[in-house]
Amino acid sequence: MLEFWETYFDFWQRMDLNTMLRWGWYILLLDIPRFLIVEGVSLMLSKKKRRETYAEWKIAEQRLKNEYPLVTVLVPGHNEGKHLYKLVESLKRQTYQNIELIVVDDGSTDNTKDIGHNFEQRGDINLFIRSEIRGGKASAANMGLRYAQGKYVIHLDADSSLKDDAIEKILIPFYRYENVGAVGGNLMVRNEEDSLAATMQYLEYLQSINVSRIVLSYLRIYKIVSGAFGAFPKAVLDRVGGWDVGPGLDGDITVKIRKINHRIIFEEEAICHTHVPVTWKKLTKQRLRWSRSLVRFRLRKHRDIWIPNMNFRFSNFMSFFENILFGLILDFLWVFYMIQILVMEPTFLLIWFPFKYSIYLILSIIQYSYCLAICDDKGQVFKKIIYIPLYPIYMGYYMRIVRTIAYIDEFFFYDSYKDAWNPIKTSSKAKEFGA
Amino acid sequence: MDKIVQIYDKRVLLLDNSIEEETLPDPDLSDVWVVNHHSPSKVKVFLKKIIRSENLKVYLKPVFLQREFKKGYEYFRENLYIEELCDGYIENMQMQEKVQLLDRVNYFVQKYAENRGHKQLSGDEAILQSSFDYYYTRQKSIIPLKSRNSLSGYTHPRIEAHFFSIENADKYSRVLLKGAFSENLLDREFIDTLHLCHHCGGGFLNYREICPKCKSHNLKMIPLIHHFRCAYIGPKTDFLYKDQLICPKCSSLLLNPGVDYDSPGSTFICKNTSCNNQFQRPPILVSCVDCETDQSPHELVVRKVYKYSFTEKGLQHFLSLD
Repeated sequence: MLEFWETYFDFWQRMDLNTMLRWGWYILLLDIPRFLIVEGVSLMLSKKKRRETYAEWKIAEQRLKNEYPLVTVLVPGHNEGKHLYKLVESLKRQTYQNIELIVVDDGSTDNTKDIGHNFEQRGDINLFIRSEIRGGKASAANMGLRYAQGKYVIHLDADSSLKDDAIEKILIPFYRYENVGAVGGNLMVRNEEDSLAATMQYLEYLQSINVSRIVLSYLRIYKIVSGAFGAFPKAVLDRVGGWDVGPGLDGDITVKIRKINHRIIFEEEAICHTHVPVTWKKLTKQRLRWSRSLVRFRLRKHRDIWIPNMNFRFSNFMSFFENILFGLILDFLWVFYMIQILVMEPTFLLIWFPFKYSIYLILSIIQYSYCLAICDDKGQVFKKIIYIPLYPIYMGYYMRIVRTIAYIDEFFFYDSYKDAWNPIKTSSKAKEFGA
Repeated sequence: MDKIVQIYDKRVLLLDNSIEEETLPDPDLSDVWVVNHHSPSKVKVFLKKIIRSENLKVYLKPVFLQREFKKGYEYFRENLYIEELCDGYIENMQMQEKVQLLDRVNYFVQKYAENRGHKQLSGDEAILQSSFDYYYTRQKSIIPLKSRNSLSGYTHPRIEAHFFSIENADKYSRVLLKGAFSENLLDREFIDTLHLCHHCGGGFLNYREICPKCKSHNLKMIPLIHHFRCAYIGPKTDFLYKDQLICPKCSSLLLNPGVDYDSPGSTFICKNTSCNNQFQRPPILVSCVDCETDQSPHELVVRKVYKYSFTEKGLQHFLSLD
C-alpha cells in the first residue's frame, strides 16, 4: 500500500507536459477548457447579465401580468393516475392562475380513467381525454394540443411537481425576449434520498441541467427543452405540427422549433422537481433510450442541420456539433483510448488511473462548487458532498459505457424503433418514413 | 234484457244491453256471462264494474270474451289487456272446456255467499278479500304484466281496476300488496327492477347525453383518428377532405386502418353554437316523458316488481268466516 502511494506521488512529480499530452490530451485540451473555463466564464457572464438586466426582467413580468393569457398545462401519460392528485394540488398553489389543465390518458390499463374523469367532474381538470388504445407519448401530447386553448402550452410530466412560482417564471422569458419558441424549465431531482442511483442523478442534474443549460442557453446552443417541464407558444407548436414519434421527442421538437428560427431559452428560476429512476437497471434503460435518440434525431432525421444550405444556421449547427462531439465522437475515442492503453502498456494503467481519477475529482469539486454558488438551497446541496468522489466514476465510466452501447445499438440495429416505450404500430411507420 | 241461452246445461247470459247501459245483471239468473259487445272501451268499463262489485256472486262470476271479437278489440291499443279483467276468451261457445272452472266457482259461491254477510270490511280489506276470492277460485298467482299504458311500465290490471285514476291505481295497488306481504298474508317472488322518475314515478324516461358545460343535448359523436406515422391525433373531421382521409399534419393519405391509422376513441362536440364545447364523457340526464322533470340517473327511484301468491296464513285469514 505504502509503495503505491510512493509511486503515485512520484508520478505526480515526474509528470511533464509531454506525458500529459501523450496520455491525457483530452483532459488538457477538452475537459478542462470545457468544464472549467467555458462553463465557469459563461456562468459568470450569464449571472452578471441577469443581475444587470434585472429591471428588464421586472418589466417582462409586469407585461405578463398585464396580458395574463390563458395557459394550457398539458400532461400526457400512461398509467399516471396515481400522480394526478399531487399534480392538481401543485397547480392550485401556483402564483399564476389563468391555467387550463388538460390531462391525456394514453390507453392506461389501471384506474387512471376513473381518477381522471372524477377530477374532470369536480372541475380540477379542465379536460380529461383518453385514447382507448395506447398510441405513444407523442400522439398523446398531440391529442392534448389539438384541444388546447391557451396562448402558451406547458408540457409537464404527471409525476413532476412544480415550485409555486414555476409557471409564472417559465412564462416570463416570452415577454423578456423577442421570438422565443420554447422555454425549458429547470429540473431538480426530488427523490434523491431513494437510492445511490438517485443521489448520483441528483448531482448529475445539478451539473448537467442546472449549470450546463444556463451556459448552453447563454451561448445560444441550448437544444433540449425537457419534456418534464417546458413551455411553448401554441402557435409555434401548431406550426411545427406538434410532437413526432419518439423516443427523444422533446429534443426533436426543440430542433424543429430551432429550424424555424426561434430562440430557445433555459429559465433557471422555473423549478420543477422530478422523479428519477431509482434502480440502476431502470436508469440504464432510460439513458439507453435517451442516447439512442441522439443518433436517431441528430444524425438521421435532422441531418440537414449539418448541411450548409440556405436554411443553415450557425447556432443550430453548433448546438448539434457540441452535442455530437462531446456525446458521440469522444465516447468512441475513449473506447479506442482504453484499448490502446490496455494493449500498449497495461501496467501503466495501475498508476495512470489513480492519477486521472485525482484530476477528475478536482474537476468535479470545482464543478460542484459552481453548483453551490448558483443554487438556492445550499444546505441541501452541501449535504451531498460525500458523494462527490463517486461522481467521476459515475460520469466517466458508467455513463460513457451506457452511451456507447446505445450508439452502437442505434447505428447498426436501429434499436430505438424496437423500444417498447412506443407501440410497434407507430415505431414501424416512423422507421418506414425515416421520422 | 240480455238473452240467456242453454249450452251444456249451463245458463249462458250474452251481455249486450247491460254493457251498453252499464248495469250489472242479476247474477242468480245465469251460471256464466259471455260478452257479446263489440266496443272494447265499453267492455272494459263494464268488466271493471264487475270487479268493483261488493257482491261475491258478481265479482266471482265467470266472464268470457268471444274469440270472434278479439281482432276488433285489439285494434284499439289501450284495450290490450281486457282479457286480464275477466276469464279470457272462449271460442265458438265451447263451454265444455270451462266446466271445471264453472263448477269450482259455483261450489265456492254456494259455500261462502250467504255467510259473508256479517263480515265488516274496510276498503282495503274488501279489495284484498275480493282479490283473494278471485285468485283462489281461479287458482292463479297475482302476476304483474308489462304494460305501456301503466305509469311505471308494469300493471296488476285486476287490482288496479279498483282505483279510478292511473296514478292512484299504480300507487295504491302497490301499497296494498306490500301491506299484505308485510302482514305475511302474501308471499312474493322477484320479477324485475324498475328505474322511475323521482317526481311522478313514471317509467317512460328519455336518457340523454348532455354537454357538461351548457347542458344541451344536441351532441355529435366524432371518432378520433391517430395517424401512426406523424403521431397526429384528432377528430375525424380534421382529416376529412372530399371523400378521403388526409392527415392535417403531414398531408399524407390515410388508406389502411390498422396499418396507417386507427381510432383510439371518440369525442363529443356540443352543437349549441354558443358553446361548441368538446369533451369525451358526457354526463347523462334523464327526462321524464310524463312530467318533464330532468334528473340525473342516481336520482331515479329504484323499484322492484314482484309476483305475489297467498301464504298459508293468507289462506286461513281469507277463508275464515268470522
